[in-house]
Amino acid sequence: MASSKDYQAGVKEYREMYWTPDYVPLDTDLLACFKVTGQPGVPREEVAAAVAAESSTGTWSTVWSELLTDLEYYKGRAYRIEDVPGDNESFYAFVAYPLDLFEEGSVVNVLTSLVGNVFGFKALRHLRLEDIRFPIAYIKTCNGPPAGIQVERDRLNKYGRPMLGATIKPKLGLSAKNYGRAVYECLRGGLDMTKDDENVNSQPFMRWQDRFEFVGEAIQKAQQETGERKGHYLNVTAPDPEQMYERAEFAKEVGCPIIMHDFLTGGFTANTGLAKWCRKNNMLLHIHRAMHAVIDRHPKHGIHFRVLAKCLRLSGGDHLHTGTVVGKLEGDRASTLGFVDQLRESFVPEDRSRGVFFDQDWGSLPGVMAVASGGIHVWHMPALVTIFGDDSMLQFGGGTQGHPWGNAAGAAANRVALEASVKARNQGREIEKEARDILTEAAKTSPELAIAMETWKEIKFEFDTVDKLDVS
Amino acid sequence: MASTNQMGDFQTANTLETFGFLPKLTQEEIYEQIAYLISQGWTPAIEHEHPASATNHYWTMWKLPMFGQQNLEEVVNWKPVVVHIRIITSV
Repeated sequence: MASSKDYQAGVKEYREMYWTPDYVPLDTDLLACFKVTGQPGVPREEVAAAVAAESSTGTWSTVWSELLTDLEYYKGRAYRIEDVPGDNESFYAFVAYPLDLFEEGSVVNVLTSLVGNVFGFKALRHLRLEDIRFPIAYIKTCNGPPAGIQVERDRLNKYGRPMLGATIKPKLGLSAKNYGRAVYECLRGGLDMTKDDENVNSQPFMRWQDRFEFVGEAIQKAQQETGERKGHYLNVTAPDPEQMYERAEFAKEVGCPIIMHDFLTGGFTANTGLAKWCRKNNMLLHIHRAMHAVIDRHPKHGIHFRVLAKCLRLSGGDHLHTGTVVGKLEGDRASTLGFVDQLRESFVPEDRSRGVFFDQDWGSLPGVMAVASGGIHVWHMPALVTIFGDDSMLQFGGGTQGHPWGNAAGAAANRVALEASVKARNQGREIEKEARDILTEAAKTSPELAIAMETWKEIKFEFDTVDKLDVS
Repeated sequence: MASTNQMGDFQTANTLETFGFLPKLTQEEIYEQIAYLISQGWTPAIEHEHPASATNHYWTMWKLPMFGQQNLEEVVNWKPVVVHIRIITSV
């Protein structure tokens, strides 16, 4: 290798500088695991080094200005290569990045580096970011969830059980007054909260000001009648940040405790800003994940959802959709539980059987409530309580509003099923196995539940998962 | 769709949060729930309030939480003589 003061123009092999198998990562390093599929004939070490280089300090050619800095200090390092179980074509590359490569408190900056140009790199056929280990030093620079699970429970007076919700349907086309009616019926019937569909922003058939006012009245009336605290995620996702904040302010004014944002289509900059606004204004923030499947579903290319979930916890949100495992949307049970832990726990150990590649210390960052939503109904309740535990929001859209007697009866059916499941779990019963007995028993005193069980007894969603965990 | 005659009408009730939608718990069932919270390592406590103020965050605390109490008998024999109580836990 030439002396550091000697500039030689040209193209070097990446592995000379960026493949460092002897490197021991520092506690302050940001670590990443990529699943790499190189072009045929290119050595693994060279491809791994190229990924490290292109996602940190490197470019395709040596440049003279490299000699004006200390690249040994700033470069990313590919430090380990592992086989992917059951896959001869791809391998895992582990890369360590020094902390100073990233602006404090900016998942935007982290992602711009780690999943930037490198994903279009020609030497690669596919590339997938499987996991990131954020050093605790970096986590302490992030704001995180505005409230967190415990504060949300205290504000809303919901203890000892998952919370219940529903997305208001039909998702498009209702007038504001009819929409508020649907909200009121769900809330008086026993749901804790309802939700704007992600597609609902401020369309010609229902402008946001109208929706917020009617929904505000629905919440207040339901609270007075039930003696319970209620909410509705008013979607403030907007064309630009100014309008987003204007909507957030009005949601607070009408007395709603929670607002909602779509973090991927809205973007991390908007999301982080909104999370900070929520912290300042004592508002909860529900996060939807439209566009995630575009990014995370292909098993060899893109970003695994566990990484997006970690980034969201850093950017800020009190609820995040995680899939249901049992409903209509994709989601493997072990993998789902792997990223549910990342949302809620203060420390998550490496566990390859759940797709967790690194120990992750979250320090004192508040937890995010896991949201299970999509194609679920009363029969799923015991399984959902077992899978997701108490710190979750279970959302039954069609499973509430499709009840033959309407929204309030549908809500009551779900609430009875939920409380019967929690009660039985606490009594030590195996509620997934005994689901039928527990629900049948509860339905004896709830005609609403009996009708719901009859309505949805045949509905199942049994398709194989497309993105499976890599296991041998 | 059910005909209007067959259709039930859900009446809103003052349910006051968790377990408000189940039939009133029997004494035995209440004991089972207390046993569960003790088994989780939580501390049982009792709060009471007049129903008119039941939606407040704060109810009057009955004495102090039963820190370190592992004995179910001790907990269930330890209750105030008022009509509206709730059993809570602190971690």
